[in-house]
Amino acid sequence: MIGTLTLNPMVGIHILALAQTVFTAIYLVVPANAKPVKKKRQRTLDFFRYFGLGTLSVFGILFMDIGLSWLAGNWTMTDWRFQLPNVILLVFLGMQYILIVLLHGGTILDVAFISVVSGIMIVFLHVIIPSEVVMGELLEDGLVFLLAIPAGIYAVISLVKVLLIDPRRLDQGESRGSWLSWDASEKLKKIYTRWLTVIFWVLTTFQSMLAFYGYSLLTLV
Amino acid sequence: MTSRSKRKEIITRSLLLALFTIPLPLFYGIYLTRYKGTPVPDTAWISWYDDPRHEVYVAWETNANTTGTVHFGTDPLNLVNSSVESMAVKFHVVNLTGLAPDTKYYYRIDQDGTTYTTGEFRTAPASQPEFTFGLFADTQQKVGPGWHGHTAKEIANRNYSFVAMVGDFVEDGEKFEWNDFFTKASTYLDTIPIVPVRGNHDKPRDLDDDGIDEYYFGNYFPQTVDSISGLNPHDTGEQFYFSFNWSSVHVQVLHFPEIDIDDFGEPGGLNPGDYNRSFTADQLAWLEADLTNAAAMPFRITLFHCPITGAGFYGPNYVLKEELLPILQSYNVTAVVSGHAHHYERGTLVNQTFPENPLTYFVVGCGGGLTDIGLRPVPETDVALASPCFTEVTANATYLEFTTYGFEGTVLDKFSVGA
Repeated sequence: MIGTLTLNPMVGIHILALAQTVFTAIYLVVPANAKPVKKKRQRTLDFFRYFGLGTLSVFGILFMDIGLSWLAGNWTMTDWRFQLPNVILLVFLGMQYILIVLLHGGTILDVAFISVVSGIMIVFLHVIIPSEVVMGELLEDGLVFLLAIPAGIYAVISLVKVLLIDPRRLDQGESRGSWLSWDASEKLKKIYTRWLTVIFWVLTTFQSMLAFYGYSLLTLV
Repeated sequence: MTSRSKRKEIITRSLLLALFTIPLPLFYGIYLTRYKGTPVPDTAWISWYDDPRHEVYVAWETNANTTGTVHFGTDPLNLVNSSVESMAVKFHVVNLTGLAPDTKYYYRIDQDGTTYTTGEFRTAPASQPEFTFGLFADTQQKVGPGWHGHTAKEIANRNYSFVAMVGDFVEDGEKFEWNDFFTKASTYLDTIPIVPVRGNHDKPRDLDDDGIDEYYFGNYFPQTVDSISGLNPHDTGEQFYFSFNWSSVHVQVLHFPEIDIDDFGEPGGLNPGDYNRSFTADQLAWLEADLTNAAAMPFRITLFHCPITGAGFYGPNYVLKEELLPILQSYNVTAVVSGHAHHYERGTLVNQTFPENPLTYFVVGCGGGLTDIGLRPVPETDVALASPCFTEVTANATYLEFTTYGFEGTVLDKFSVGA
């Protein structure tokens, strides 16, 4: 048993449900094959797309950490019927939120960003916080910064991608959505289908709602 | 694309957008609106000061000032005794005195000529028969998992002499939170008395910014404020401590307001110097005197909200460890029960000065709020888990057995102590 600290999956599921709602709406509703718009407007759209997905990836790292920490040992101390649905959803969708950044215009900057943020979050949650006598307050205060600062940094990365990297790629005849050095997008697209996105939206939404009344998808079975 | 098909696509996408984005925010909105609008429930509860063999109080709340009459007696069809409130109030407290030990009483509350609610209770025995009582804490709902309702239903199915709620009934102290607590607790309050322990979240707060603190805990449980009426000689207004005997167990309720560790380091909150004032002389003097008086009792259980130590977010409390623990151990207290940390824990506190008297501690903070995750067991920890649960204590003159149940009767932990 690894008695490691993490956020409670019961809290994580509410954040995840909101994130999946936004993700599903954008993924399914915003036209994927929209006509090219004016160059300036295209850049603005690209910036928000990059920034939105980058922010989502920061939450993805947190979701993965919550789920994997629980699976690593905290399950032995809890009634798994309440937490297991949360954990499965957090791990699966957290992974998707990270991969999606790399799928859509992933660059070496994205790889570095996700690596650094993951490292900092793991050290903060599993090394710094447990070394404190009173863990609760530092966790609450520190996590806000830990989510906000990477989001700010990713805003800068998004600008760099829109202003410097994308024009160079286009000049070289590549599309904006190409991979840096490998291409697994088609395989992953077969896993993360639209139907699966909708199914996970339904599951996260219901799980979040049930949690308010002390139930989970498993306790209903 | 024609303008017609373009319009059709826009409508389809708009409908899809609504389909995916509306349900969750709508649910949150409805849930919070209903939660914040929770009305005052029609329920009453029984508690007591220091002698539940002969005297209890019945309390309830109304939306407007009313004058209530409590009819009570041993025959539900013939409630021969009655007690009338002297003035119209919203927070009602009526003392029922002259009771016989180990006797089942029924009561009916009348207001304005109509029956408000009914209930029953059993007074404490004069001898030491076997009995059971429940322990739980930290029912704070807020964005919690709604487990308090389940805990309440589990408790309602059990034949407890009383339940002790070891603090943090609410999160922010808002009125609707209290209404929510009593709505859920109403499933058992008509038959099971409640012993309140004040938690750090139950403190007085100026909720409406009028410069006057609202103190709902004190309104509901007048053990805190009955220095005004003189009913509890131990109460000093701000502090909250009392004790009583039930069969073979002496139960103490303590509160140390200055060591609400959540306030530590916050502006206007505690600073390290405040720790020196954590234990007022009068409470410590009372504690020792009370334990001296209870020396002949087979078991002594002390209830207070913030634990001495534990695997939760807050870690060990060195002030309690250094100043309170030696007293509890020197008087051979059987067990201490706390909440505050949102998990269940049992452990053994060994003291250098009194190694022959290790003290068993329990943390029962899984009563309804979000459970902690990522517990950090301390050397004293024997068992730690973060499931929704409550603890049942069975006692007679020779043994004390603690059984912790999850939902649906799952036994999570069992521990016995001999006299």
